[in-house]
Amino acid sequence: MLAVVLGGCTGSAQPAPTTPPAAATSVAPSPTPTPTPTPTPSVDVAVPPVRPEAMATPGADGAAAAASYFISLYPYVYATGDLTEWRLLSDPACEFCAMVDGEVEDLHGRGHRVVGPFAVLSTSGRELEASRWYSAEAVVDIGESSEFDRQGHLVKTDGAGTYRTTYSLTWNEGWRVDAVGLEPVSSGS
Amino acid sequence: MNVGAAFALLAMLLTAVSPPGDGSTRFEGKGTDQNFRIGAARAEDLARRNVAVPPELRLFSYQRAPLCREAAGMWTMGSSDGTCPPPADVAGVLQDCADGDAIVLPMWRQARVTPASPWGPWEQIDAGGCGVDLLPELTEADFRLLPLPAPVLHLQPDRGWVLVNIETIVFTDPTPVTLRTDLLGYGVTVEATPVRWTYDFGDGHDLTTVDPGRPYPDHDVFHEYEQPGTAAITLTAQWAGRYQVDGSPVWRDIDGTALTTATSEPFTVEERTSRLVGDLCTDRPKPPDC
Repeated sequence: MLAVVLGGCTGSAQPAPTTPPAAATSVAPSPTPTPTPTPTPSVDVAVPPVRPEAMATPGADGAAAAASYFISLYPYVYATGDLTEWRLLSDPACEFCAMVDGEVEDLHGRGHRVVGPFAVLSTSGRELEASRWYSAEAVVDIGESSEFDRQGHLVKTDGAGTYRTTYSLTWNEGWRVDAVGLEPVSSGS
Repeated sequence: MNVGAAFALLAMLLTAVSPPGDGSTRFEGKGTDQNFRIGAARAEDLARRNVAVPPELRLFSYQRAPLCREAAGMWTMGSSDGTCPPPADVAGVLQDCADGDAIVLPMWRQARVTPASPWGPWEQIDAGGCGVDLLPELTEADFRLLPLPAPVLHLQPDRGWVLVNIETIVFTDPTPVTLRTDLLGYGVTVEATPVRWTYDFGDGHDLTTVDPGRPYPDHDVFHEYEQPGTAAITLTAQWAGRYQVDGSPVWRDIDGTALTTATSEPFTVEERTSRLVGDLCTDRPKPPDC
């Protein structure tokens, strides 16, 4: 009944609130009935992304893999509040990393979570100085996301967009993300 | 649940849900220029160190030049004088730089496998930035290595002894000092200013203040010793600083502080009892009861 009235009142509002949001996390760990392959590699946000093997070694490919893995953690930390891997890769001075960390802590501290599709469309890496400095970029699609409160009520919806994300990385027995830049990609290009 | 409660809940939901598609994403507000700054600083550092290699042995070649837009989606490297060959436009990231600070063009790099190999194509390795971002940074550790002076410690009275329960006045000099140093080959002017002082009075009492104090009778920083004995006062000054790299108009604050200390000569803390005497103690010969 709520959904019917909502639809009627807001007109353009998405039918999203009808989906019991709890399902997003409760369904996730169970063996999902073979997800239908989609053109973009959309991810189940409640399942931690897997560290790509290429990340194990320094190099341009490793930097690209590290950047891709790092930004794939973005929807995961918002959905679960699990910042372990995010913090392992973030340099303490990385501003973007710290902003995400703070927002996720705050959201999950209040029992909220944010779910929404997210996909890495392309990545590239560059070696600036061997076994030390690297840069990378990843074009990502951030889908419309929904924030749910402790009771599972939808409290906020954020829009979708495509971004070119750029990274400064350091290799020191492993990858460290020093800075992240965000540039919206206009739909025309 | 009655109808009223249902509507109250509905009203809450409606106000709490912001309409979708308003353009803002979960990335909104998290963009900073940090990656530009780090990228430009690293590119500059690489180019600076590359110059130390003899030209015939270099495996890289660096040059700052504009990013030129020849046509939609066609980007090329411009000339090192900052221009693009016509009809291309200068494009790329142009940032807001502080007044008087230079805009820095993107860094380009070409590589060769060995000194005998041909050079590869030019590749852009940073987005450019502002002059100040490329200059070496003076760290707290650098600041602490500078020969900052010991703070000036004035005592009143200053004659080798003071009185119990009477103000012993301390004051210092808050004047900033200017120092010259060298950072990765750049001359740097550092201005250090004492901002906080801690006096250890040597009797278990200390005092921290941002007030440099003043001499008698306008004194406002002092200590009253409670017991006779011997003491020395140690003054620790905390310095803040800013610096300017030669050739740049921008002063940058040093992220951190440094400490210097000064200790007075030891003095005695004495107790005096007043009593009546028959004559002036300044009389000569001195009266026996003085």
